[in-house]
Parts: sequence; structure tokens; C-alpha cells
Amino acid sequence: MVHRRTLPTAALIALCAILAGAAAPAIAGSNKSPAIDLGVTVKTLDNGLKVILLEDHSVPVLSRQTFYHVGARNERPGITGISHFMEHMMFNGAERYGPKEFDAVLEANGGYSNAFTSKDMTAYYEDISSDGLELVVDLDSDRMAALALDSTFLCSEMGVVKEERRYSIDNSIFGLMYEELFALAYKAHPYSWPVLGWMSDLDGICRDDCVAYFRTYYAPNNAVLIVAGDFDTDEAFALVERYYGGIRRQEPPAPLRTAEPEQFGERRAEVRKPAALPQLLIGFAATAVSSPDIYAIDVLQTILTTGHSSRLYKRLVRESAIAVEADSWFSWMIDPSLYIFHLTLKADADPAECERIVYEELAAIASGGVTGAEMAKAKNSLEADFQRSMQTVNGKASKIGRYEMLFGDYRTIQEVPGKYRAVTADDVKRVAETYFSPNRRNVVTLVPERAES
Amino acid sequence: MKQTIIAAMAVLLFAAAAPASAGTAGIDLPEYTKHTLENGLTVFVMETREVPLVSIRLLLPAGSAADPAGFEGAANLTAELVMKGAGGMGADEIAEQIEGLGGELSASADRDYTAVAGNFLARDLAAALEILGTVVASPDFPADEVERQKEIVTAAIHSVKDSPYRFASREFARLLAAGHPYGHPVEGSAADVEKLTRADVAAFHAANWVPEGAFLAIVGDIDAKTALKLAKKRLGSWRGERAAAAVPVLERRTFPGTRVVVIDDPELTQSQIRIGNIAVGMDSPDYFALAVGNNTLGGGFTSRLMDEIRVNRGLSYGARSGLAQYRRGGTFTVVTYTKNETLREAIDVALEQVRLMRDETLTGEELASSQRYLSGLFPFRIETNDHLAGWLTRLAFYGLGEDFVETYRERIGAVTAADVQRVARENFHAEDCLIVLLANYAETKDQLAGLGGIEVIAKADIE
Repeated sequence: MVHRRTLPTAALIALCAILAGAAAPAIAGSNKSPAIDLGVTVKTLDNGLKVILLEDHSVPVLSRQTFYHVGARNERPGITGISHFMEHMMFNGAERYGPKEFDAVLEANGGYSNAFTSKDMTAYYEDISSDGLELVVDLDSDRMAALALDSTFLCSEMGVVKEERRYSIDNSIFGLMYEELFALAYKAHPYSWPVLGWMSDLDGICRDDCVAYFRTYYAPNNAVLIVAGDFDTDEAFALVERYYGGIRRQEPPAPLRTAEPEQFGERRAEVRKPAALPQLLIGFAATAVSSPDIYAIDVLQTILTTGHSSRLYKRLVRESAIAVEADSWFSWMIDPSLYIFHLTLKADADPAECERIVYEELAAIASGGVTGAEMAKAKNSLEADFQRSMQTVNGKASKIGRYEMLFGDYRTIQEVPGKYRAVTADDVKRVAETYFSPNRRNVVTLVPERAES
Repeated sequence: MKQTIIAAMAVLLFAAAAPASAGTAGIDLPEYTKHTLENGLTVFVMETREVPLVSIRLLLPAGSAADPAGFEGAANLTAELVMKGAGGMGADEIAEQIEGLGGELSASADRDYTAVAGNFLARDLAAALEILGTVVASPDFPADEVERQKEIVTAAIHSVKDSPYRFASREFARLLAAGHPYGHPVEGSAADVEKLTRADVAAFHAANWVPEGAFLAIVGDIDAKTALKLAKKRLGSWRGERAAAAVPVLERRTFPGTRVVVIDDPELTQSQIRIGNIAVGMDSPDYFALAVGNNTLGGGFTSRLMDEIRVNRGLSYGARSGLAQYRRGGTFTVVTYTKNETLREAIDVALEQVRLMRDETLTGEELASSQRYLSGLFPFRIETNDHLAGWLTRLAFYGLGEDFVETYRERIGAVTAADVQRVARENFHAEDCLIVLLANYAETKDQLAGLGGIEVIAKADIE
């Protein structure tokens, strides 16, 4: 789950669904499609900043993005939420551009900026017309070089972040359930806590924590800079070199030591709140992005819940009519992540019965596999999704950044279509059998309580 | 925000200094063709070459504003149901055909129109149009699907109460335009949806899903001639005659002394705030001045509401204003939320910012910033096939002019600070307005004194 710097207009659930589908290219039944060549130029500056440029003149605009290898994964109890808080502070003043000036100068020049933090990464971007490259390079390099962390703004920004937490977790039924699911599924690993952090930690984070965090994680050697769009590659490199080249590299952060131990049995939790409809959130301990199984899992996800002809939608919403929504997603993450099902039930439906049907369907795939038609449909869907994600300069740049963070190399994007093409029905059956084992299950049930009134 | 004559001079200086790129330079849409078929359907075809995809979008004059009295939700249910059986194909078969191609196609109602829209691999255009034509012109409305969909829609209506943000917005719209077809939620009310029958849905379809006044756009990596031929072949024989009553104008009204409605939810630690009034519709000549004014007040990250509520005071994660403009009128809304303890402070700051838009002219710097922001980002709003199909159909549907995109920057650039103040006075009200709060009343009531006439409704009493 990712948190933007400001309120996303889409509902949280929709956001999760989008993220789930975000990393999913494939090509099926089409030998016309050429191997994907992003046509980028890569260079690493002396200070370790990796620069990836994708020249594309189709629209007179560009997207500049910086991805940092830092997220909730790098936090520890006591400072949970600091990665996301730092994302906010990056907009609150540096050296050449003081508090408020980043947004003021950018917007007055027709640019838009936003950022997000996830468990694995933090990313910043500006979208602007072609002639705005030097401006956004100036703005972004200023904060990478010398973030101010002004005390007044630390304080007001923490107020903003607490409101964000109240908005998307404390006063959100889905937010509470999602927080509960990760706390249930992770006993040791930092994926346990929310990206937004625990409220008590937000109360406690101080300027010194931020200064240390900034120095460690916001170093050029811990970042990747991407520009996609309408510019000249040589000129852009020169600009980047000029603005970022003088920023000092730092000691690389220590690698994360803690791994989540194996789960040996189902875990369950309840959320009791007044609510109109019951919900279920089921997370199976799955695998990390380094596993070759991720492609087969994506195909399986598509077969299970993408579209109204998918297995679970048909079974739960149409045939048994127990649910009104049936969604699932598998997020590619650095360390083993969850395969999550989210089910919204009819008001009078029994969550236990719904769970039973879900497990029956999963068992059916684990024992009987999937059909050739389902495989073809899933691969077509993944191919179209991939193309949809490449429609904008922002989409291209952000895909490159995401792959850099997850795989350490954007070039994996180019391999992915082949990986999907190679998934067989047997692979899908095998991953269903492996990862949907009851011992890997974490179940959060929303039990609607009557509102007092 | 103190400015007088100096401000007016600054406007001129900034206008002169604006760089060409993000200033007033025209933006060209890719070339496209426009054909009106014999049955009245207008077809736009545009070739783009970026990705091997095609977007198709049909806009029909069949919005929730056309819901018959007592049958709120008819437009929405009809849209949902055309995908659940057409031309003898069952719901599963239709879904199977669309998804088998890796495509997406859905029908959804809005207030003024229903859109049937989708996105396919370009090689599948013919199949996509075949499905679209079938669901639009020959839906079967199978009885069992009607019942099933009614249950799903009813659940969706109830589930809005589980999202404070959406629930507050829904109830605000309902109260603001009460008695007008723009007031009820597009999904309708659970009580009305319960009453809807297969015959009602079929009647709504026959009266509103007609080619006359409908617009189809096909945009993507396709051959224009072939696409037009396919559209003619599949939709040229579609017949129908519009038999719906015209939507009345949403009359301007005020709420003397300000009406404050508190929807009480004792669970909440954060209150949802909606403030607003009736405003002008899509046909207003003030479209561009309103866009600039709204952006200054509550658009980007540097807007006045964002600056005062979020940046300076840390009261909220989000604070914005918005105009919803329809054919027969519109609404203006300020949206924010804050912890229970600071509810009144946030309301007062928001009202003060609305008031300042009326009482004072913008500084030249603010005006220029909004103009350049809107102009600079416009190319990002015409970047994808979906965007382009959206513009072609929407501009035609609302009669905004075929030169809208091309002249957008010029017209944004021509807005003056005086224009903004005038449209603010007419459309942004800080007095005699409607305030809806979804809040924990026991914890916040002491803060509300003097705000206006207060009514409290228990959340449980709202359907």
C-alpha cells in the first residue's frame, strides 16, 4: 500500500487494486509484438546516483522522478512512519528553495508534483512541459543536497500526517482491517507496521531522527533518477551532472537483517465496528519478488479475480450471491509479501460460509488446475495491462523506478513479457498448491456491530 | 492576500512576462474525423500511434437526472444491466468475450449521461464494437439478472456509509440540490431500487438510450476508415426515439443564515466537512474564470485552502474546492476534514478563504500562477487514448466547441482578476450557504455555536 502526499480521489480499495495490477506485463498469443526495448540511456554519476533517461517526443511534456531505496521496511519500532513523514518533509524547504517555495515555484511554472511511500520505496515526481527540465532538476537536487527540516514545518507537517492516519486508517474500516492483517501476518519483519506508522510513534519522532534518517537514506548512492519524455539526452545528462553531481555520497545503509520466520498455522483476528456490510481480508504468506514464481502467481490472480468472468467473482458474486465484491492482489515486494483476498459481503451473509467457498475454489485449482482458455485470457489481460501502463511519460518513468527498487535493474521490465508467456497451466496449479496452504493463512473478519444511537 | 490597485498593475506585468510554453500557445489535438450517421449518432475517429491499444467511448443522454420521479437509480441500474444480457448472450458470455480479449468494457451512469466505455488491444476493435453495439442496442434485461443486480446496487448504496468521505459527499449533494434530479445519488435510494422492475428498466432504456444526441469516439492505433466502417456497420441500424422529459434548471437558492446539518456518528475521531452552494452549469460563459478562481481557492498544493488549512496550521491532510458543472446547473463545494478538536477552526478558516475570494481581487502573482498551472498541465490531460476519447465525446455532449482544446490556454490566459472576483461573488458563498458535517456530535457540539441553524441527524437514521 502506498500513501500519496495528498488525498487520492480514488478510494483506498481501488488504490490497492491498481497497485496490485501495477507490475504485470505479458504477451500472449501474439508473435507480432516485438520484444520490449525501452530505448533508455543509463549513467551513474561519481557520487553513485544512477540516472536513467528515456527520450520520447510524442507529447511536449516530461516526467522527472527520483526513487529512494527507503520505506517502512527500513524503520524500527519507535520511529515507524518516519519514511512517509520524510516524504512530506521533502516538500518543506531546502537551501535554494525555502519552505513553501518548492510548490509555489513549480505550480507557477505549470508543473505538478506528488510523491508516495510504500513499505519498500519512496518516490517523488514532477510532471511539466518540455522546457521545465532545468527547473525540476534544480528543485529536486536542492532538497536531496540540503533538506532544511525546519522545526516549525516539522510540527505542522506532523499534524497533517496524523490527519492522514485518521483519514485512511483510524476512521476507515478497510484501513483498520488492512493494518490488522499485516500486524497478524508479520511477527518479526518490519512489514508488520503500517507505512503511515503507529500514532504513538508519530507523537515521538523528533528532528534528530529526521536528520539521521535523511543523511542515511536520501544519499545519491541510495537513489535512482529517471526522466522520461520530450528532451535531449545529452543536454539532460549535462544538467543532471551539474545539479546533482556535487551532492556527497554517504555510507550505504545497513542491510535489513530480520527475516519473517515460517508460519505454521492459520492466524485469525476480528475488527468489530459499526458497519453496513461484513468484509473479509485474507492474506496468504507468499513470496518475494526474487522468486521465479511471481509470474505464475500473477496469472493465477488474473484467473481468480480479474473481471466478471473470473472464477471467484462468478462463484461468490453471481452463483452463490454471498458477496458483492471479490478482489485479490499480489504485490511484488522485496521481501516475502502476502497474496490478499478482499471480499465484501451482503449485509446478512455469513463470513464463515464465504470463507468456505473461497477455500473450496482455491483447493479446486490446487488439485484440478486451470483451463487453457483461462490461461489465454489471463495472458491477454496482462498484456493489455502492460500496454496501458506505458501510455504516459509518468507511467513509463514510474515503471522504470519501481523495477529499479525491486530488482535493482530496470531491464527486468524487458524480460517480463517472456516470463509471462512461459507460464504454464502446471505452474499455476503448483503455485496455488504451494501458497494457498491453510498454514499460510491470515484472516481478518469485520464483524459489523450495531451503531448506538 | 491584501491587494488593491497595485495588484491590478501586477496582473498586466505578469501576463506580459508569461513564457510562451506554459502560457497561451495553442495545443493541437491529433487529427480526427466526425460523422453523423442517419440515425443521429455522431462518430469521432482519431488515429494515435503510441501504444497498440484502442479506446471506445459512447456517451448517451441517459443520466440519473433522467430518473423518473420515485424511481431514483433507474439510469444506474439500466447501465449495469445492459452488460448482463444482450442479443441472446448471457452475462457470463458477455464478460467472457470482453475479458477473453484482455479488454475492458463497462457502462456507468453519471448525472447527465451514461457512458459505455472500454479499452482493447487495437487488433480487437471489430470484436469490441460488436459487443458494444449489442449491449447498447439489444439488451435483454433477463429477469434473474435484474433481481441479482438490484441486490448488488442496494449493498453498494449501504456500503457508502462505511466510508466517511463518500458518505459526507453524498449527503451534502442530496441536501444541496434537494428536490432536483441532480440531488439524488446516481445509484438511487435503496427504497426506490427495491421497487424497480424489469419493465421500468426496459422503459428507461427505450426512452433514453437513443442514437440521437449520442456520441461515439474511437481513438487508438487503428485505421480511421476501417474504424468508421465498423462503427457504421454495427451502430448504423440502431434505432430509438428519445421520450424523456427535459431536466429542469437547477435554480439558484441560498440557505438564509446558513444551514448546518450534522450527521452524528459517535465512532468518529475525525470530522468530514462540506461547505457549498448552487453554482452555474456547464453552459456558463464563465467556465474559464471559474476554473482559475477555483484553482486559486482550492486547486493545487499552493491553493489558499491548502495553504491555510494544511500547510500553515496542519489541520488536515486535504483541503480543496470544486465545481461540479452539469447541463442544467452546478454546485460549488469546499471539502476538508480534521480531528474532532479542531472542527470549528477548520470551518472558520475555510469560510474566511471563500469570503476573501469575494471581497478582494487576486494578486497578479496568484492569477498568473493559476493560469500557468492550468495551462502547463493541460497536455497531461490529453495524453492517453482514454483522455482523448473522453474529450471528444464530452465537448460534443456539452457543446463546449470543437476549438476548446486548441483555445484552452488562450482563454485561461485571458481571464482577469476582476473576472475571478465577479464569478466568485456569484458562485462562491461564505454566507447563507449549506454546511454538512459528518461528525461525532457529542464531542464537537460545543464548537458549533453561532455557525448557523443547526440540525442533527443520527447516522443510523439515514438509509
